Amino acid sequence: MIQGIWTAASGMEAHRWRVDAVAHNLANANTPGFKAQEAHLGDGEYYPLPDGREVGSGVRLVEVRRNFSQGPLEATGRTWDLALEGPGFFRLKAGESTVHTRQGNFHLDGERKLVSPEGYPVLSESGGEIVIPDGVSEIRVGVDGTIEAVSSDGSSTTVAKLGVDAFPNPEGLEALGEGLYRETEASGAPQAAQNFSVRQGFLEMSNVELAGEMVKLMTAQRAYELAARAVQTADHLLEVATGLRR
Amino acid sequence: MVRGIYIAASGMKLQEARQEAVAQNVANAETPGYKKQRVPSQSLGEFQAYLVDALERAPLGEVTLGARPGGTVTDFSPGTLRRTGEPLHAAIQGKGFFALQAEGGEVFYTRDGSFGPDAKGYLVLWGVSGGEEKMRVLGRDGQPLRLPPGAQGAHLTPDGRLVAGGKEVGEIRVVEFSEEELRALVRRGKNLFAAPGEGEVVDPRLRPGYLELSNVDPAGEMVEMMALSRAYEACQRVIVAEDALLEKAANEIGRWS
Repeated sequence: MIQGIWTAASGMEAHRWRVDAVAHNLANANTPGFKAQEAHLGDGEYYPLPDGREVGSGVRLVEVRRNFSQGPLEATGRTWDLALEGPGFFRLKAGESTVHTRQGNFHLDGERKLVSPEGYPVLSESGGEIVIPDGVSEIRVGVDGTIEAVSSDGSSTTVAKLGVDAFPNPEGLEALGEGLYRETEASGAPQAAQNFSVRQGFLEMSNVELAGEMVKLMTAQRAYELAARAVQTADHLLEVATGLRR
Repeated sequence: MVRGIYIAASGMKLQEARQEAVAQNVANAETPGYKKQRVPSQSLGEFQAYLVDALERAPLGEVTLGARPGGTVTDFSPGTLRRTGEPLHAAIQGKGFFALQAEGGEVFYTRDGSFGPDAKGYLVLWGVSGGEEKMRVLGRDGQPLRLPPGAQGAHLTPDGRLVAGGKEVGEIRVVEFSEEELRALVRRGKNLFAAPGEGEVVDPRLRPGYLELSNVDPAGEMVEMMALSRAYEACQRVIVAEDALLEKAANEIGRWS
């Protein structure tokens, strides 16, 4: 059978992956700390023929990339809603291992320990869990991540400093779902982040741009139709060839 | 007479080859840096036919042997630009190519500027999210571009400099090929081309934060598909007609009843 039918079919498949990525982004357009994904395509291998042609094998999904650009900040006024502006991730303890997140909707658990929505303890710069003392009237979180407890008589004490890590290549992090990421060989080892600020009373919203996603959806849909036409054309050629002998 | 069948069949094979190129183009309509391809037709040659019998030798006119695909031709015209806002993405303005180096040392060329750092700080095309294959982006001096450890705020400038932490780290290599060298480029997949020569290193003119998409034009591909399927049908009709003539010759001439 002719190669063209398979080549065009690979295009239909690739454009469907792009629609999948758009759907995933749109579904998370309101998830705090969500980072948009995009399918990165590359052309498939080519086979040289004796007549001088290079016959392509279509298109491949080479990798799905995550865009770690800053999401917009939304004011919530809650004490333990913390947003990161600039590069970096909060450090969390999940069992024995350390995971990272930009989703800063934390709260205090029954033991007054600062935890993530999943219940993972938030770690300080020195790697310890953060416990807020009793009888505190106000909590202030500085832009550098320093947590200060103000008691009722107005005196303040530093409780801890939030651990904020940056990675040489955040796109290489392994996504664990729920906005959590784990270090991999591709991401490189975490190092103390610079040029970030912590905003208390704000949440970082998802960085999905609705208009951009809608345009991507439309172009993917049209490209899909175009590839489907090429499959039809190939099928038509086969039909005509089969009709040679009646 | 039988020659006509083979000539028309060669035309059908040519249209199939054109369809393969169209299929490759539409499959890659959204692939960054993809350049569309076409299959031109090439005549198999013409010769003078003569009527020869016992008494005379009279010219009948020119007869062709059919057509065949004349290789693949790549259209290197620029593709559409899409803004991504990524500071390490860049589209080339003008005719050049980015130069990349595989881990084995082999050099490839691309128009796909969706670069990012890998874990070691090298600027790479593939393998940003941990893939096996890494294509390191070469600097003007021919060495891979590398970001210093811990560098933040890395970006490319319109004149091709790589800046990280406020300091210039290197300059990106952009090479241009002559018409002849362009024709000799070999497609290697994954948006890469291999070149027999080295090309000429030029001053980069980039649009940082943009990606060049493919130069595939949907209307052009649709027209090509319509044209080739009609040509295919026409060739098929010729074969059917020739077959009908053969049938007459074989079964009806000389029948007496």
